[in-house]
Amino acid sequence: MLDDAVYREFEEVVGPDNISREPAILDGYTYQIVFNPTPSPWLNRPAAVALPCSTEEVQGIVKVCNRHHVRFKAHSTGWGVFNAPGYEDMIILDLRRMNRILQIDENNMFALVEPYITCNQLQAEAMKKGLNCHIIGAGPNTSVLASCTSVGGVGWTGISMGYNCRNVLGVEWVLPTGEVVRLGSPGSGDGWFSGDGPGPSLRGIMRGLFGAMGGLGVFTRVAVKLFNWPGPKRIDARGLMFDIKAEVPENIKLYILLFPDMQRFLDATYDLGDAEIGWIHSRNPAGMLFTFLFPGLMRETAGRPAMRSAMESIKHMVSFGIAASSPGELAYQEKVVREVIARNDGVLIDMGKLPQFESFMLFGLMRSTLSAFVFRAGGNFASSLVGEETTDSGAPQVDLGVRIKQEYIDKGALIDDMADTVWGSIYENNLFAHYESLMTFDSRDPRQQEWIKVDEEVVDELIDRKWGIGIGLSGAGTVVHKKFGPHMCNYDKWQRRIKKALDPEGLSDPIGYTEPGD
Amino acid sequence: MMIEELSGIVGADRVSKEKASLEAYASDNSFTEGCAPSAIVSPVNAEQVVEIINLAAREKAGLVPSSSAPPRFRGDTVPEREDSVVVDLTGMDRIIKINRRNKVALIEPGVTFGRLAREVAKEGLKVLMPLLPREGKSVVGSYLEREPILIPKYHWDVTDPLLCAEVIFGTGDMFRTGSAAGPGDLEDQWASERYQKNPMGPGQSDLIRVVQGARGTVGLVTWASVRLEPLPSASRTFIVAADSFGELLGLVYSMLRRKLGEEFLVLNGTDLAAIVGGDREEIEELKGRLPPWSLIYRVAGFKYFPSDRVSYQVNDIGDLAGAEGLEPCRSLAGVSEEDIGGVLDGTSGEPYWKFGYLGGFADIFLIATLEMVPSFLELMEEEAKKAEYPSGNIGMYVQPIQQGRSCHVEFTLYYDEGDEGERQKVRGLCDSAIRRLMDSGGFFSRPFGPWCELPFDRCPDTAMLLGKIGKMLDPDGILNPGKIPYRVV
Ligand SMILES: Cc1cc2nc3c(=O)[nH]c(=O)nc-3n(C[C@H](O)[C@H](O)[C@H](O)COP(=O)(O)OP(=O)(O)OC[C@H]3O[C@@H](n4cnc5c(N)ncnc54)[C@H](O)[C@@H]3O)c2cc1C
Repeated sequence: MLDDAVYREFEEVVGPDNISREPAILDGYTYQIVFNPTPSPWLNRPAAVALPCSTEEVQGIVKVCNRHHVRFKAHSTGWGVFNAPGYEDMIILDLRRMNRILQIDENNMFALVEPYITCNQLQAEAMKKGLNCHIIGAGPNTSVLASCTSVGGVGWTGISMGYNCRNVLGVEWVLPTGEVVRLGSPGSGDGWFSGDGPGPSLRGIMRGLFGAMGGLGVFTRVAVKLFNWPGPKRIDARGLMFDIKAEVPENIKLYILLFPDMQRFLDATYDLGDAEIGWIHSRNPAGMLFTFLFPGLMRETAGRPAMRSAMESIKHMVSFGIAASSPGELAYQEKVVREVIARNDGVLIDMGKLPQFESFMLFGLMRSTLSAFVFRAGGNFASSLVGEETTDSGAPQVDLGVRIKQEYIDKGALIDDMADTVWGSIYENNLFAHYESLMTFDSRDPRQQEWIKVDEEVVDELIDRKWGIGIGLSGAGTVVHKKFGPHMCNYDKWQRRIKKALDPEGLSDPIGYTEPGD
Repeated sequence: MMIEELSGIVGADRVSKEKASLEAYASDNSFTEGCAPSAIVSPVNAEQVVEIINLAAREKAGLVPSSSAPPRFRGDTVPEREDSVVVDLTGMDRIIKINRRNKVALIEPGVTFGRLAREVAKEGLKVLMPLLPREGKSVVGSYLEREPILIPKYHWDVTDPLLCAEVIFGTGDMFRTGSAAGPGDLEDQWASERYQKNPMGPGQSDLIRVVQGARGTVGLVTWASVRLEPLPSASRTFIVAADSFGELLGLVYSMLRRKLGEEFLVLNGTDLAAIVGGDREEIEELKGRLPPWSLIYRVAGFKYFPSDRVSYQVNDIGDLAGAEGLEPCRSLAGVSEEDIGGVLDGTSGEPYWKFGYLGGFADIFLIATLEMVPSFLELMEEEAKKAEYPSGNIGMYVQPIQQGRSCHVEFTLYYDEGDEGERQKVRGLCDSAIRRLMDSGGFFSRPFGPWCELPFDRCPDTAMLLGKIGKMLDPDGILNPGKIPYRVV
């Protein structure tokens, strides 16, 4: 409960129409099933929610929080458990009124956005200027700013557009204690083209492989990199999701690449990376695509040996896309991909020969609409693994993720999707790879409440074998730090110190980051 | 400080009090004023570095890390406190690992560009070079300073080509950044095909970003993994001449947008002459012949169909250049493709190339967007005129970074080495130009020389936050004191 006098102070900042403590409204911020490790879909009910419309209002709220020792947390588009209040008695800053694209700098290839700009909004506007943005696999409905400043950053287009942690330029940041800092060039009033300096880059405090999940204040603006888009200003499309029909431009090509085994998938991935071709690259195993597309059929047939062996033979399946700026570039990239396939005994299916499928996959991959399909099989999903090192290092990790997952499928704790639904993409022409083992389940089924155990078993084995990180997004925060910290240079100690330096009172919700400490 | 203790850590033969060696650090080729250190210590491993830092913390003495051989520039290694000890890391010069498949090398700070380039070439790889580094320049040192590399398409983020590092913070804690943090030590990681390739993390912070750009004030790096790229199997270099930088802008933007070309830089006639010319007369003569501005780039092909790649890029660039009324040439005013190749791949000969023209030089560098550059050029000319400095002696180098989202702009003011009056004039010109460039939107992201406080005056909020972080990582303020003004509130 918030003291009435404190509530009034918040009200003075945003106006009475932009703050609420109605239980029905507040409950809207507490229901979160995705990546929620607790048995209940209902999490802590906050004491109030405020809708600031400017940096000044955000700062005003944070200052009131500091005066009265009230915890707070930012909420951009609210996709997944991370924005849920870690405690009761706190205030949520719902940033939906901060919804402007402030600038698209066409020549210098970046956009300046507020928190409630979603990936699809930015992409549509950027394409009008011949530019594109990396959309995370979470979907087009997510906040560009949240992903860049505060969460993860993986998606289908990482091969050409990278990982969002590395796509950040200037940032505007309301610190947990209420000061406003602009990182990099905007801090000196020099435009938003750089987020680093003078001197050391404080982007390294803002976030790492993962963001601080609301634990280090509120980000109000971010300049994010855009990339070349050689396609049309707008791709005309009719229909939705499955039924979408679009004219796929001639300079865009989509393929399915199939490999007979893991080794040849790996070798081909290195070749594609070295050749510096490709716009989209993603290991989308057959089990995953079938679970997304035909969950009913999958349920009925997954147990049949013939189906399993058919699926097994096509599991090393990659979606690969080219977006070329000239006929010469298109011809070159096509020639290379065909040669890579030939040298690695693969099969190349040109999605252009399957127009309906091509339309569906274009939006699925380019705009990240595919991720919504993950909910079809059971209504919920989670993931484990998240190995993020070399492409080769993923191979044994994939086996590990599949083996542990199969045990849970066998006892009915997960939906049978042939177990290998390890989604994997390469970043920056194969600088590193991300492998994430997806699991689908029905969280209303009492038997299917155990996904977090899969995560834990995978993590334990990754640590035991010294195989790498396995912090699923579900696991940022103290629980994971306790597991990994001692094996990773006690990084959690530095996070506690950062938290102490920036937020000595621990007011910016520590649940997904850490408490302050020494 | 504590010679005996230092000797106890590294051995007496690795601690120097020799006057000439100490004096060599008291100044450098910048206008930085400082003093000689009290000793030079040369550790050979990370454990010794930890002990040295712990000792300095106890004694409250300053430590000035140095990884490259002289000559030195920019004032980073000129001690500001007399009790300082120089930590000379040039002896830590092992190339610990090169991995072809993952295009990465793990190296100690004393490894130089020339040596690494030779070693990795045996594996078909290339080092991402800055413009003609001096022979003894440390690779790790250069990347920690955020010196720009010549190939913008490989500069995805500001940390590139630096990946992971082992750092000893001012607290004496040893830390490994990115995926090198663990689980497991390096051997375990290699055994599971992990090659310290992911620069992010560990966890929810990226401390490597704080170490980089810190001028040695946050931690001492004892090894780092660096991104390498394949050596081309076919390549051609080109020059596009122009009368002004503005004429090149359209072509530069359109090539960067499409990631066309490999090495990619713009030089004015003075800098290009200083690079390819031999002695003063030759450089003067070349300056007269060369165009005012040159865009230099290379196109290349790799393992798959190298000549196809080269030819589609040559054609596409030709079309883009044609649309701008420009023409790419293979050689220009007597500067051959071979000359240019040497510039793109090599280290500087001796003496360092900037000494070749008039003996002395001073650099001003900043970052900006490419379209801001023409106004900076005008501004420099105005300031040169006011200072009665011949603007034709200003070398200019524009290096796109972050894949073209911004660029490093470097002005080199060449002057007669023996003429103290000239030197003072150049110093005055630097001072007025730097202030005006800052007022005009130039971002001095890498503070240098005696002007290192100025950029922080313009961003007090950043300076305040930096103060808190500096205090956390170097609570006793022992690491290269004074080089970054940590303003503790
Ligand atoms: C189905 C599904 C699939 C997913 N797949 C991917 C994927 O492929 N790749 C990937 O990277 N992630 C993925 N995720 C996780 C995803 O990163 C996050 O869900 C998403 O980035 C954040 O959601 P959001 O944009 O709605 O932000 P929110 O949910 O609003 O916020 C997410 C976190 O960031 C903090 N935050 C938000 N805005 C601010 C701000 N302005 N200032 C400070 N902190 C802030 C919040 O407090 C919260 O902790 C997936 C999630 C789901 C549900």
